[in-house]
Amino acid sequence: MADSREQILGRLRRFARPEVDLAPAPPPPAQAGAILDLFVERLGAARATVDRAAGLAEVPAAAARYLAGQNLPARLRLAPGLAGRLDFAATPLTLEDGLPEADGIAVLTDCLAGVAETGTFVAASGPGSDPRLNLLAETLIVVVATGRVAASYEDVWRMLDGTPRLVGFVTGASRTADIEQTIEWGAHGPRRLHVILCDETP
Amino acid sequence: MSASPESHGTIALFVTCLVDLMRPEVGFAAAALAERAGFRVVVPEGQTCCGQPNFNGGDRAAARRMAARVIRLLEPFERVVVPSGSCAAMIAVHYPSLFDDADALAGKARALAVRTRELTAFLAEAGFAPEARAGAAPVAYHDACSGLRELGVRAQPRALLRQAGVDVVELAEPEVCCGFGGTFCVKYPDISARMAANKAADIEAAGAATVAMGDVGCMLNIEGRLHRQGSAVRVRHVAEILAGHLSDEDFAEDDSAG
Amino acid sequence: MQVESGAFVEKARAALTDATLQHALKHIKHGFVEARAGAAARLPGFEAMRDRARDIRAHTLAHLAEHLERFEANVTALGGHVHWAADAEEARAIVVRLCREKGARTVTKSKSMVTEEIELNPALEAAGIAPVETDLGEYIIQLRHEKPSHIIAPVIHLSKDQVADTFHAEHPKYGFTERLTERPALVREARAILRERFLKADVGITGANFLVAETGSAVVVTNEGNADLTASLPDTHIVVTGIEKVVPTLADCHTLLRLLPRSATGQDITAYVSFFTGPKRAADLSGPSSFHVVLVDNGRSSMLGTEFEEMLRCIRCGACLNHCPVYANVGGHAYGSVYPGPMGAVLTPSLAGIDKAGHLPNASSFCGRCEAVCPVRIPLPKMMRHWREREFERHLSPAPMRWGLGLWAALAARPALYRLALGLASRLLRGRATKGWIGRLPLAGAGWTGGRDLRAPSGGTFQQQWRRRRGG
Repeated sequence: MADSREQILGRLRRFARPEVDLAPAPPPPAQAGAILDLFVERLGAARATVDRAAGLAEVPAAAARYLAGQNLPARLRLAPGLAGRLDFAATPLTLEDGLPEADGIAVLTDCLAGVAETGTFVAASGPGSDPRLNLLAETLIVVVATGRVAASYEDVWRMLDGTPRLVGFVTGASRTADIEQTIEWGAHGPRRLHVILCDETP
Repeated sequence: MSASPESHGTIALFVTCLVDLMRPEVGFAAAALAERAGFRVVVPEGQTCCGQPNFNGGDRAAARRMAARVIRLLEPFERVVVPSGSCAAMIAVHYPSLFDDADALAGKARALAVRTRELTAFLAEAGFAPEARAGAAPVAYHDACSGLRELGVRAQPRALLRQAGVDVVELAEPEVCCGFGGTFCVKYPDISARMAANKAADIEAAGAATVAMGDVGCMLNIEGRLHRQGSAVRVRHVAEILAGHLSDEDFAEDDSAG
Repeated sequence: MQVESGAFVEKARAALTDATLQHALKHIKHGFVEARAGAAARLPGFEAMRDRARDIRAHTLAHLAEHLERFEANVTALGGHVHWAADAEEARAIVVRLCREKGARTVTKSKSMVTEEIELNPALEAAGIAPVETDLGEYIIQLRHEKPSHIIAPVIHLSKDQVADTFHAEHPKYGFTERLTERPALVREARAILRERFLKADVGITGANFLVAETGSAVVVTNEGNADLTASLPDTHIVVTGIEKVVPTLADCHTLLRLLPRSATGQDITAYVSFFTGPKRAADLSGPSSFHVVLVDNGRSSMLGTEFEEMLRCIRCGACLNHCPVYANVGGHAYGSVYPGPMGAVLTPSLAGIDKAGHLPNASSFCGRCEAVCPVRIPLPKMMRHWREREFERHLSPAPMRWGLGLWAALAARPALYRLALGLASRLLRGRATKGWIGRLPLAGAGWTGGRDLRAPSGGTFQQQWRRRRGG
């Protein structure tokens, strides 16, 4: 195998052309209008629903309101990053533990950032985050801090220190169009995505 | 627009083998248009094929020889006009790729490429305005692939037709190939015929009594398919319509259009 | 790489009369062609971005060793492992060995064309390891023991009724005995079955759309989220991908990521765009403890410095398939290669040899629409022509065509003879016509008149008539 490495790299080096240059990267496409408005508009285009919260204290009620409005079970799994920081006493929600392997449990999570360009939220693995929850949830509710909505993907990387194992750019719910090029939601991950835009950063 | 002949100079008309053999009337229409645009028309003696069949068939050596012949034949002319997008593209786009920089013909190939025009591009560039005819029936337009994508011929034929008083009806999928493809139509006749049938259906759906186009290859393919399926839609080269070189049948059933 | 393109003509003919397939292929126009046009129109600067993307890929190929070594160093620094596979066999052996070392019984896989190319699944099965495809389309293909017919839409050739039949035949063993007929129900059933597989898998294998040299990341795009589940639930994540997938920087990667989904499905972005970088970190709450990247050459490095080098710019969006009138009429299976359509017509002979892939670069009308939509501006018709040249040089093209072209070139060099021959042909055609039309031709012309008529010339050749009228 070491041989293959040398063999492949040797051939690549033979055809290397150091003189082929690349101009510096142009800036990402400019986004017209207010970033937040654009973010909300693009979330809609991605078939995500959006709610607003002035502070974290309003998030539990917003989550409960959403689940009730969708006729969904009042069962919630909280992402580690939000654990102990929200008070659900005033809501009918039951908090769950473990992985939401079965359908019918919603996950409420915070995230690293939002991206206005395409109505995307960005989740990164790390001490306060378990990416499996976002993927297994049938219903995903994401708290995006208004102060952390970037114009473009490139801006998001500047919010990070180093490169976490997983940086996921997620836009809308999980879907497939494999059968007859017709979109069906909830292929493997969330069937529905709800974003709570929060003016306080979790 | 009655510019006197020879006021703008001379063009060489490279008629292409398909016009030569199958649709001589297209060559005459092209010549008439160039003359009306104020050019003297010469049909260089000894012209044969541009070499495209060999070029696309992988026979690069023969294609290079054929190109060399055409380059020498057309060297004396300051302007070369071709009533076909694909043969014009062969000369204007592909000839320069056939000769290494070291080759004595490389420079000449590039020079010829610059001097060569597809017919409608040439007419538009020359500022030619065809005579507007009142009461002309609408015509559907089919874009030939090479002209469209290799030479950017899209607006010119449409503008010229409109100036001639002809409403242009767009096809549902103007960017889809009709299936001619040179030797493709004999190498893969079933696929080619299906593509022609799809295009014929598109043309029928457009509702015009005539469909115009700029390449005799597409013409043979599309009219052959339309005729096979019993369609009454007529197929004409855009030059024939612009020159008014139309037979009586073109005016016989104008009210059948639309 | 298994290639069965020898039967292209027969398979294409069968495809043209397969009503189910023809109906299925009609989804391309709305699902892909119109969607791409809309997405391109919505993004200002789309064309300039294509130029930039071409330049990024060309630059990367000119410095490929350097970028791969940087990628490798970054993966290794994080505790991951990079493996180099010269060919398909070595790639299979590496993956099988890694799975065995983990004692793996089942592996989940997210869609990867490179693993199709190297035929990884049969090798895993032979080693007693069960691969489970998790992309819905690939899952259906796996149940049906077929190959994908499209590089991004593996089951575009199937109707939902065929999918229903497949599930009804294969799913009773999981307790799903009812034959479902509606798409949402079919998707729900597959979700339930695959959810179990995700949770139980020992190893997850993904491809990579891009590798980022500056971070050591493998980037995967999906709409289903299956690559994320594949890479996040098992204890081992193996990335299998081609050496040409590397790009220098995150910014370069995002430029390509803006083009990929827009060119592919007409989406501004896919639902999931995930950057996987190394194994689980000390402070992470979950994630695989081992992370491997298998870099597959399998003929790619031999394309550098040849007239096929530009093909290595390909980002596998499938736009050339979607816009190809031949693909649209015969579908992907006729090509007999996991890489069908225009990109396959160039790539398949590059990887498997032109002697095995003869029809592929020939089955094109050279309409040029593939090149017109390619996000990285690969001159596909030009390269198909180069393959035809290689065939011609090696006398692999059919003899009648070679003779025909030779005769034509000889005529073209002799104008008097050419005029005589054309004059003769004109007379013959006119003599054969009834009311100006010919309904049947012999020899090479029989193919033409099989599907259409031929309008005979109206008179003698242009050059004859011009001489007569104008005197030359």
